[in-house]
Amino acid sequence: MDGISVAFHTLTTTPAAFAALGGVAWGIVGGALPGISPSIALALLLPFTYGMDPVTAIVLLGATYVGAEYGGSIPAILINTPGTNAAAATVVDGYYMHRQGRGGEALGISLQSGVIGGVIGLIFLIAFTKPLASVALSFNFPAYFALGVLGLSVIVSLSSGSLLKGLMAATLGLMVSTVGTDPLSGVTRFTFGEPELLTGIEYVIVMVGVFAVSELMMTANTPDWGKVDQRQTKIKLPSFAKWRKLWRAQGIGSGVGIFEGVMPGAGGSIAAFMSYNEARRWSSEPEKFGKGSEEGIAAPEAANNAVACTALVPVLSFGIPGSNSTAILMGGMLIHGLTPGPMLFQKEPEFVYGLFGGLVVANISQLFLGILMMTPALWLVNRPKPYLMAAILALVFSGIYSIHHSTYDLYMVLGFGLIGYLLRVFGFPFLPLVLGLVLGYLVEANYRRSLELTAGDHRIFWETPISFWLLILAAVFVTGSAIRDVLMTRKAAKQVEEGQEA
Amino acid sequence: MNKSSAVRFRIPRDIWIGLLAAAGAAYYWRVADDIPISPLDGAVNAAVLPKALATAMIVFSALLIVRALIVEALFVRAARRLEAESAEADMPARPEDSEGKSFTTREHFKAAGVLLIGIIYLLLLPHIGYVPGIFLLVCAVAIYIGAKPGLYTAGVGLLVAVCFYLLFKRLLGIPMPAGIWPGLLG
Repeated sequence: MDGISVAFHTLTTTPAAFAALGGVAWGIVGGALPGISPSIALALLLPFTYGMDPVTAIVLLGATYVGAEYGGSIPAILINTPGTNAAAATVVDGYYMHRQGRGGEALGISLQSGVIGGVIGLIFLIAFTKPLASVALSFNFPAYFALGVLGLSVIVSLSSGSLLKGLMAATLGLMVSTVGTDPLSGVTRFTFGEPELLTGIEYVIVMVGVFAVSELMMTANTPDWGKVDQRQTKIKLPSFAKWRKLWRAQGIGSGVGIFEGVMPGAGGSIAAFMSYNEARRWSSEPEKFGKGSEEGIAAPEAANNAVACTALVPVLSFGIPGSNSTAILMGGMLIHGLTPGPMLFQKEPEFVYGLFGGLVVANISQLFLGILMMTPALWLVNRPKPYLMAAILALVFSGIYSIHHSTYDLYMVLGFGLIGYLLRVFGFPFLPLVLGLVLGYLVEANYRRSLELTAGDHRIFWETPISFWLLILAAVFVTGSAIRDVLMTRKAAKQVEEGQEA
Repeated sequence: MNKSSAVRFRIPRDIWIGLLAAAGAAYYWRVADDIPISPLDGAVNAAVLPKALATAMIVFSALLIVRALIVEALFVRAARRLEAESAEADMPARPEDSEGKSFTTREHFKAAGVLLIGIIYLLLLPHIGYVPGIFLLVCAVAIYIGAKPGLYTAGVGLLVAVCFYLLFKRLLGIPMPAGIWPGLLG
């Protein structure tokens, strides 16, 4: 009950409720633009959050994530191009329905399912985050160090691409996090005499560069996306009778989304496809899947919106993000001096319950904002890509400049854009890099503090039971992934020997 | 007479990546070695983690190189065997080609052009100021990506520049670069 009153108080005394509405609106528009993933939509907003109070800033980012998951389904249904990766499963039946002249119905099912999935995911988030956080309260320095290592290992193991490239990306992220004044001893590291580097490299610069600028570089070579026939875009929400037919698919989607959301590295895309398959398996009309099935839209849309909420569980309870979007969200918390993890509930209850309240507003408001934002979102989707991309680059420069009023940051954002581009071209996953960056301090500070306790004796890491088991788990993930890599290489060689394409 | 094989050992891309990463890590180590020892340092000083990271990066780079060599060797051996069995067999794709994006050199240059425009914008920004800078940036990037030069593009550039000026300068109060104009206009 206390939590509800704290959330209500926060929502009525700060602009957090307006931030929730604004975030959902921006998320829908951003998600609707092909090439602007939820993480890019979040990264573009980060510079604007500097002047805000922490609750408003993080509610804005969380609501953007929620809105973007629905927004991605708009071009998926109308132009056969998913606005986000998670909306790829919606393309199959959504676009089919659109071609049948039922685009408005498909959009309505997507919106309603998204809201239901989001609300169910939110209930899970509110119910389970605090108990999990209290488990983590028994953590000490070695356990925190091990937790950081485990988080990195899990992400590296589950990210796309080879294990080695994931490890290298994570190491690079950790290296970037060491730039600046060492918070424990006060000496400067890797600043090369540049005063701008004394406070370290801002997370936002790395994230905007790696996600947004590299995407702009990639899209310089891709053709414009299709345009929407706006005559078929009036959203038609499902009637009660139709909803009764959809509840099973929405339930499956929400369940899968909850499960996948708390799993690091899984994310909305896997949840959407898994829920699509499960919904088909349990459907009374499986033959309709792929041919304009309404359940084929309901399940993945409920799943990816549930993920948007439950993906916050590991961030808030352990301080370990499991996806690009939650890593950016965690970056936003760190920018505002909030340390995600179990102590957050003890030290900043107003923030946590305010965030929950903001997400309630965001998920519910999505129902009417989804209808309201359709026209501006479609207007933007129908603009020629070169103008949109040019405006986004201008937004990147203006937003980053506004942090320190320095062009040095703009050169750095271009530098990280180049790094992001090279990572994409050479097949390195992004998430380990971002995670290495945001977990760098946690890993280093707790490693050094642990060794302070034992005068440099490393045995503390395996003599502390929690740390021991977490490190064992990390080793299991990395070893398992290494074995998978070796097996895949051997399989590829075998396929070549058999004359198949590797 | 032995027929020479069409399948040749090629230095895989991952070897170059591994060498570059190892060189970068070695440089990082060297800089880490210069980190001063602080009286506040305890059992572990500020250089320990950076050095550990540099070592890890060198090890991962070496493993990447070894892995790339093994994959290439396996491919060449299998492809040569396949070629010997049937001269008309289609050569399979090299395994490393499935990782990352395959861009032509021209496409890389096109992508780099976006960065170049950004750098030119940053060099000009202190002189020409925020609004003309954004106007030129939007026009240049739009035309570079495929928009037609003309009044419409100029109009979009102007609209974006004015909107951003109102948002950042007027609404958020950010002191955007004014350029040489205040000095010229007295």
